Amino acid sequence: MSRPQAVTRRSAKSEYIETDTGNKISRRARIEGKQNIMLAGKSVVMAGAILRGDLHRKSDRPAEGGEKGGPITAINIGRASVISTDCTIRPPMRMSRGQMTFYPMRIGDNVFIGTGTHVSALSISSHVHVGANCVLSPFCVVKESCKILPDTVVPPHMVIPPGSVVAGRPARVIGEVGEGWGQGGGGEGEEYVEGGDLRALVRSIK
Amino acid sequence: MAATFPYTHYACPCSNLTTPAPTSISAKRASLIPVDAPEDSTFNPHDPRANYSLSPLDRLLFCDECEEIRCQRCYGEEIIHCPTCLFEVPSSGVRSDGNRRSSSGEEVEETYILQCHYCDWSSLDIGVHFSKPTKITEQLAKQRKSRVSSRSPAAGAQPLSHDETFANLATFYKEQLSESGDPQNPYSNSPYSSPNNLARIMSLYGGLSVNALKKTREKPQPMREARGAKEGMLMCSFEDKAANDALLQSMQTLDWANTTTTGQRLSAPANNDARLVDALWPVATRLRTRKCRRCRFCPQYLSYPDPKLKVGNLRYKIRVLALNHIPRLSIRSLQTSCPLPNPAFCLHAADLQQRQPDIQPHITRQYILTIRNPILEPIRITLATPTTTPGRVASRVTILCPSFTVGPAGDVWDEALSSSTTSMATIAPGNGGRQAAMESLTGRGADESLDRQPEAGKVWERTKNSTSVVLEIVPGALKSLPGIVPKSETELEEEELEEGDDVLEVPIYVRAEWEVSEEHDDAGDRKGGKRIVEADGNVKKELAFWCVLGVGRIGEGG
Repeated sequence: MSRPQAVTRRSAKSEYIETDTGNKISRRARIEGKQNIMLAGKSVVMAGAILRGDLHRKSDRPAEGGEKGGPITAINIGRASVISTDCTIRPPMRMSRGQMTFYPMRIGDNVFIGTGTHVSALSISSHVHVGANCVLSPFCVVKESCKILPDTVVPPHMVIPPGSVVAGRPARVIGEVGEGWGQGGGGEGEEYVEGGDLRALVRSIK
Repeated sequence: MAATFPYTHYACPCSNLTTPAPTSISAKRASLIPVDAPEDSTFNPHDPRANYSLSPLDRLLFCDECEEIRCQRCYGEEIIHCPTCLFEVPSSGVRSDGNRRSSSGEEVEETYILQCHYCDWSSLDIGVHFSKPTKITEQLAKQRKSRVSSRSPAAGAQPLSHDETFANLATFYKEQLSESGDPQNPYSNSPYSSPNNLARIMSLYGGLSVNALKKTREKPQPMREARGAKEGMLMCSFEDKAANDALLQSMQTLDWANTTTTGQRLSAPANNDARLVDALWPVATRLRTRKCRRCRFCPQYLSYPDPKLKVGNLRYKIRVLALNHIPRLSIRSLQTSCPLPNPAFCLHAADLQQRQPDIQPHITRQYILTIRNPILEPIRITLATPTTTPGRVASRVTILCPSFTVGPAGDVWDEALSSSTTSMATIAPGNGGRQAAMESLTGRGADESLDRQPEAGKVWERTKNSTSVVLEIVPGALKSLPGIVPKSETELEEEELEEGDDVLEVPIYVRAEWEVSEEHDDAGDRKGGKRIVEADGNVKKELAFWCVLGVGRIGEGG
């Protein structure tokens, strides 16, 4: 990796917009429907990522006066999660009774999503590490502390049990994560550990 | 073997490679040549058996009582509570789908099928559908039974099905066991300990009926194997030519993808004979269990997950991880100023293609070895490594400072407070005007830190709970230089590189010593007062293990 150039105070616009809660969103990320996307804090959305917050469930009750019930969240992302470059996050949809309905997608804390993956999962729990160029098909469910190796294709409606290592096309559970998975990283000077605290990684992304 | 360099693997003391067998056992075995103490015998990471004792840090647990590392083979597993089910879906990628209603609309006949969303197989392909979406395994079993029984009368004298054969065999073996088996059991409750005694006493007093006496006098038959289909033997015959021919014919016409793999055949007893994919029967997914781990040598729990199944996260009641108890080593090259990006955390597509460059042989390289101390006391570390790495390719390794101390790990608060101060040392200079100004004030410029030369006997860098020293490595060449004398066949064979020989791995023996004050020494208390208490009330503790550092791959170009 090349050394970062010295940035002076009066530089051009930086790559990332930082929000009050510490989220870093790249200016080159393509985000639709940003009012329907919740980022819990200290999460990163990198360049080229596509977040489709405009695909959300239409409210069934149009004329309720002021009781719309608040904004409909299409995508919920937890703390310290990293969505790498060129990912696509699209809420899963299902055709039922002739109508297309979208379901809200929930991504947990400390989730690392590798570059170029397509995520349409119904939910991804915390401490999950997803490799590069994966495909998580609509309505799959990834439980906590899983590791999804690069280039896997998770078929629709698959439930990945907690603590499993998953690979292949179609994805199969090939093992379990170690006992100490997710522990021990993120301290000063230490390497980032898969499934561990990603706050240090978030801080280092500039 | 990790695919990415650099890595660190720790050796568990369970194997003979790391710890010699205790002398009591080795004295009994004539074949076992007594091995010297571990300090004298080197751990060879290229040994084919070494793979079984090395593990990365996240797979290791630590036993408090024995104060040893425990690897996956050393912690026995117990299944403590009920299996957890996969919440709704019976098997991966296959789900129960669909209501089919009759077109007339009067009768609503709901049927369900299994369907795979990945390859579009559905149970209609084998003609199976279900009347209700629950208890699929039961419905499958019923349909299977009816299918098998409807097939067998048609074909005449069919061999018994798998389940029946298994049942027959099981009853046969049980009978054999009871017939030939232990005479001890009936006598264990009586005051007469041996059967001879009992027989003698009984013969004195008139004894049992004739039959019982005969039975006890008969020599027990040795256990025999099953002899017919009734007893559970499955015979394969070559007489059924027609079926075999038909099978061969279909295997010729259909392609490879339509024949079953061994894995598919072994997935269920129902599938053991299936040779073609369309003869396979759906199998329910195995349920998963939560395992608790205990040390093999002392019955101490090392990892005990919370029995509450519906808890969202995997919570543990007890979890003793190695990385919280042993000093952790990591290595990086001196030339790169910041740690290499971890390939698992590739953020950009371009980084994916980047292969780590090969190490050139015969060029001295310097590496920084960092030891991190997770425990609350300062430890004294002694490192040892053989001068040349064992294995096919010999590289020379020198540790510039083999003996040093590492500070204690503080509490979480200490770390958080001090991280702001120590991070100053690692930020690359020139980032912002303020940083450069600070450095010019303190006189430490960017150039000075780069020009630091590693010195023998001196520690490279010291932070609160970690110390770094420098390792000098001269990688060996993969092929020896061509000599004047042409090599014989055997020598050429010996020089063939096997897989993994070009990986530069350095075995290091790490010994950590520290002192614990007496009241904090819980493990010593439990062991029962055999420890030696120093004059100032401290107990000396020591931990030693082998560790293998994977540095990189050696390239050609010697």
